[in-house]
Amino acid sequence: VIVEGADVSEGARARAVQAARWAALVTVVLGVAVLVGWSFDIQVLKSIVPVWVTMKANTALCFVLIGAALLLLLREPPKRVTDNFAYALAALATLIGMLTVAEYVSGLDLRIDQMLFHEMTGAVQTVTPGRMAVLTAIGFVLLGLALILFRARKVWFAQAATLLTGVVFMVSFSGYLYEVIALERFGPTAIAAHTAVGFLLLVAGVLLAQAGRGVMASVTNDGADGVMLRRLLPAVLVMPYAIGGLIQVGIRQGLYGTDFGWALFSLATMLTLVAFVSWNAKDLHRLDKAHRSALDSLEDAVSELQAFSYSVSHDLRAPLRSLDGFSTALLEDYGDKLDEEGLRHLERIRGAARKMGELTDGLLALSRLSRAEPHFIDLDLSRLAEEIAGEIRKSDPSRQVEFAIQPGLHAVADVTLIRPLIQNLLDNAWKFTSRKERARIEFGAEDSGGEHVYYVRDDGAGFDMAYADKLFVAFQRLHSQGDFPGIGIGLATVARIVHRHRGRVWAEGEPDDGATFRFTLNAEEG
Amino acid sequence: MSRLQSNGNAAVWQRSKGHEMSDRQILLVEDNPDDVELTRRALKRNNIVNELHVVEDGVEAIDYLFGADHPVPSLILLDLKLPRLSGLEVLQRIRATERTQLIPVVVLTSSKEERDLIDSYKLGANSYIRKPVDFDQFVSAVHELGMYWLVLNEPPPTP
Repeated sequence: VIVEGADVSEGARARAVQAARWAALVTVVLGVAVLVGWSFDIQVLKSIVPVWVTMKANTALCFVLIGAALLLLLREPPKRVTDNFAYALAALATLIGMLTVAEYVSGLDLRIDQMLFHEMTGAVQTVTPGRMAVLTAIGFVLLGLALILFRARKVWFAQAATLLTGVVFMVSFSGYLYEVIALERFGPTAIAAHTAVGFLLLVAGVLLAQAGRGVMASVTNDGADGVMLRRLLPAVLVMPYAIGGLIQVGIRQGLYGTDFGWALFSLATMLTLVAFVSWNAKDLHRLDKAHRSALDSLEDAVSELQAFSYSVSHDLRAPLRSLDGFSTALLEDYGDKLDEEGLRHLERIRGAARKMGELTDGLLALSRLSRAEPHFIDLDLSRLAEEIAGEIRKSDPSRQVEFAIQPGLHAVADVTLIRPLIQNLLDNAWKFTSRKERARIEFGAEDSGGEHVYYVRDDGAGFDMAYADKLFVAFQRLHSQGDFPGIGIGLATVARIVHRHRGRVWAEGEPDDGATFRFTLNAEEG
Repeated sequence: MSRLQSNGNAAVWQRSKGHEMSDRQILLVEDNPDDVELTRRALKRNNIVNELHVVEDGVEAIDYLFGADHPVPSLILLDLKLPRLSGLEVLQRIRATERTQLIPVVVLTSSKEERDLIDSYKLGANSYIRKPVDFDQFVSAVHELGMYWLVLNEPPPTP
């Protein structure tokens, strides 16, 4: 059973990014239109309605800067040059915002307000001609920084700044919608209506552009949370404004009073919400059903696998015992009647039977690894490795091998899984250094690329990197039986265990120049 | 090499316990004729000359054990995967019946699944041995097994 919409995730992300591009583009167009309005003195572009405050020229410029920066950042594939250009645009907007804030705080005129166009003194709801509202300035500082940190590993700052901006301009937008002067002003100079709209567009754009990260993680995933958020969030954000706005029109037209308006608002909101919630519930139910049926078939597959491995363990071994047992009987009872070649053939049959016995055992051990539920706790890897190294050394005390185990290595891991992991890697290193008179096997860890990477390094036979992808596949071997015997299960076991710890494993090597196996462990305690 | 060793030890048992040991009967519950043959061979190679009675499935095992016309065996070698009635069910009935409940039962099987081990011991198996593929190893396992259960171990008094 294929889970419905298994790749919604990528599709939803692509759609979100496309929407973000449109939001950015519209903001750029808005900014350009207002600048055109300033240069040709077209009132409708500057303030929509003459009694409303104008969008200042600097505000329009910042919209163009931020919108263009966002568009550039959303170029695919991303390029360093365009990214840097985008950061420069965003930084310029932040700078304009900061200087404006500085003007408000210090009371000085830095002569930036009128740098593009001149606004006459005494303009509507404007204290200093040409100077944008203080919240508008702060909004550009925040959005500019959000874009500069757009690709940062930690997304919390960019998203928090964007959300904060969103809330502020939502309030200002409400002021325009319901004609509450106090809300649209929020300071000495008012925020223009289309400035509020532009900010809401940019906030939505930046958030959508970060689909799949931070607070936007759920929005694009294909789980129940993602479906719910995609359905209900737009409804919840837009619906009260739409209904409230319509009812407000009725009140202004004198069709009914405020009391009736409130009753109408409650009723309409309730009914629409009920409709949205039921629609959502229906879809969640379908999703839930698909998940449950997938879970059922998974359980079936697991129990089938268990039956299979039981069968491998039990039924496949019986014929192998016969092969080896009766070959031995033949050797013992009729050995004198066979020539040397006949005896050798029988020994080969025995060897093959025993080998297959080992293979089935290896297969079983591998399947057992995936079955038990792991329990992750903090473990001392150095001590474990020392212990294992001691045991390995005992298997052939005559060999001169130096084990260099870094002290104090810790990891959150499953105790029954981590032992075979280290055992297999050290065994492997021990085996592939067997041709060397003196060998050195290292176990340690280092921080690289923000990850804690453990490694086991030896100076043994190594391998050809061309075959590196085959190393971790069960029953694949890179060396002949004659050179280094084995059944090809050790590194497959390692890979399986590392995956169970949500880590990665990889190897580097050179023929005759040793090998290094690296792995990460990302299990969380519990 | 293992053969020499086991022969040597078998001779020791013969000396120490004399005919007493060979009076004890072994019941082998095993459906695979190859395994029966190989077990016979392994016993022979260890000079274990006790009477070996073979039954081929669980129902036969129960019929034999609960048939009153002959004494109970001294040792039961029990395979787990059997036609009709499984080894575990046979074990359960052996332990539930007064006449057979004290007989040492050695589970002799291919499986080393944790589930089988736990179930066997829970139901009162005295020992659990996984048959190795390598016949030489099997011979030495049978040697140890015979040495322990037929010589070293004091059996429960016969009812």
